[in-house]
Amino acid sequence: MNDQQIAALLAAAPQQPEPPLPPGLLEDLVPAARRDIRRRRTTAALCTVAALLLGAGVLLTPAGGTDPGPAQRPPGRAGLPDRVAGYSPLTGSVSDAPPGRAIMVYGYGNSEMLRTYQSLVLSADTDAYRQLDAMPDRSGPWLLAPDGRTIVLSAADRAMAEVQVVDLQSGQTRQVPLPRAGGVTPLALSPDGNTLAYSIVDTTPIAEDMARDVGNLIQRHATEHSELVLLDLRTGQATATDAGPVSAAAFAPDGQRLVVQSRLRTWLVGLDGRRQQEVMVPQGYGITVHNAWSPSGLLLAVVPWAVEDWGTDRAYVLDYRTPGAVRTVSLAEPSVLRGTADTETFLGWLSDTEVLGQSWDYGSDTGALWAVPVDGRSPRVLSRFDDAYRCEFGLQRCVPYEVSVAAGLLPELTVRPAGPLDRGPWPAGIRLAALVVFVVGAAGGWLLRAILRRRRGRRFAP
Amino acid sequence: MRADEERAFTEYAQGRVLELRRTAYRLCGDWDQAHDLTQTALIRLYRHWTRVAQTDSPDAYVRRMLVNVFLDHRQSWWSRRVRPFPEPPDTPAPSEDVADRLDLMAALARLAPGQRAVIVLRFWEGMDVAETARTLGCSPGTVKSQTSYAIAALRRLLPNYVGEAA
Repeated sequence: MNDQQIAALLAAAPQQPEPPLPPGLLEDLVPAARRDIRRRRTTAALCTVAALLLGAGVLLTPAGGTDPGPAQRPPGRAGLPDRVAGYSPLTGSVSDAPPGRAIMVYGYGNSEMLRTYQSLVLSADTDAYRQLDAMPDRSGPWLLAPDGRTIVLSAADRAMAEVQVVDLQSGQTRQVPLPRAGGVTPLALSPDGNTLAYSIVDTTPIAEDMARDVGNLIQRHATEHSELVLLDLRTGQATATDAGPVSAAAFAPDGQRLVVQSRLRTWLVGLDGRRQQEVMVPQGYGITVHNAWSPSGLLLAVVPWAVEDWGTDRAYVLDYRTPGAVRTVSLAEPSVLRGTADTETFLGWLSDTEVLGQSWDYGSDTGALWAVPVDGRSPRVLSRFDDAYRCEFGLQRCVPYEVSVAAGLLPELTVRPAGPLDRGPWPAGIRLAALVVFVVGAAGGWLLRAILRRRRGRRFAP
Repeated sequence: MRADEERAFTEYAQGRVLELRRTAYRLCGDWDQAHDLTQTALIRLYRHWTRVAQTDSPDAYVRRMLVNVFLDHRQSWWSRRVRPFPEPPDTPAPSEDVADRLDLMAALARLAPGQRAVIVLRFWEGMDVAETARTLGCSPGTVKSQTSYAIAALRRLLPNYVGEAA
């Protein structure tokens, strides 16, 4: 069978008599075509409006959907996911979608070649992560309240006349004015989160170095020259103390006094600002920078301190040369070193027998949070940080910085398998960029369609 | 659309409707469906009439619309599940002519829609390869290859006609 045979076959096929046109086919053609055009225009308009509303809703609504945000959920026992989520620039902000009480605030990123960095808050009740937009681009002088509901922020590189208090329930940030301006380092928050112990130092002598962006300058200068101030964050009332200079502090579990590190000596200080007595910890040791007091109130976490003396000035720093860095002492007999907790960075107390530490997990080759027994037994991993290469556009791993934990939630802490991530709505800048891309894409698609239709029409032109 | 354009469209539709319906029937093999295809193609033509009327060959344009309507319809969910050609009714045996026609239409119906469109346009409507390619919106090479496949399929489906036509 070839072309001619097919043509002959079809031509020879007996013809069926054609039926008459159905009534109305021609008469109703124009009205039907008009209805078709109206329907198409209406559908196109409705689709456009729906797409714009949907796009605007997704991109611009801070917290869409009917699911109550983490801040609205009633808290149960505080929890920690067994895997801390990786870096994502699409993580929403605290002010857009408050995460509720947090278990930790930390800096996360890497800056070896390209700066990729986030300040993050991890919810204590869900797998919600939010960017701390009140301090978005650097970690540093921050404190998470023991109950995890507020964060106090200062600045590491300039004098401040106020501190910022971020409410993680509402996402709002308020300023609490200080009695005088200076270089401020938040040191401790009372268990109810209402009283802040901070050091303040005159920055005039170090102004030149600050202009050169020398790191940790205020914090180091404060260890020799600062004063300790207790600030009521509700009323703004400040109480001066006689405990300066100060480099570390921690509230007692009942919130009625503090333990304070002043140079190489350790003191108990009352809420009235007066020194009560010296705690005679072993020579060369002092309390950890944060959360030194154990939940029972009986123990203190101590670490080696050293003095750096360069003739014209001095500073007191943690002495990392001493192995087995974190030790414990009892307040009843503080001169005797008791437990040993093998961790790189002490974060807080899980119980009187275990502390929470941050160290590198060499088995998994990533940072991790550990439960570290103070009797010298082997620590166990509670949670690992993401080990993927997500920073610097996939060139580097991300590293956690300046982890601050809700110390009051640690004794009840449970570790749960990491669930679906809640990163909240995209950050405002990315939403705006996505909206621009969406609009430009829609306009481009419309234009392309018009061009293609015009070209298609021309094919039939002579 | 302006009144004079609408009048021109109505005149054109009246003049071409029978011819279009015949092509539609050859494509789909069913008069009711041919009416639907014709009406849908003419409604599409109305939408674009202002532009089509300015061309020299609105017939080619509307024929392409008709083929596209047919192919779109064949690709729809409904048409893939409902056979457009029912089994022959349980009636007395048809005459020889009618039986031949039923064989031919049944064989065409079993071709893929694109191959069927190629056969109808080339051998029933008498278009050459280039015209068929323009109407189907594909390349001449595709028309040739689809024609070859379609003829091979018809050869299998119409063994009785081979001898007669050869």
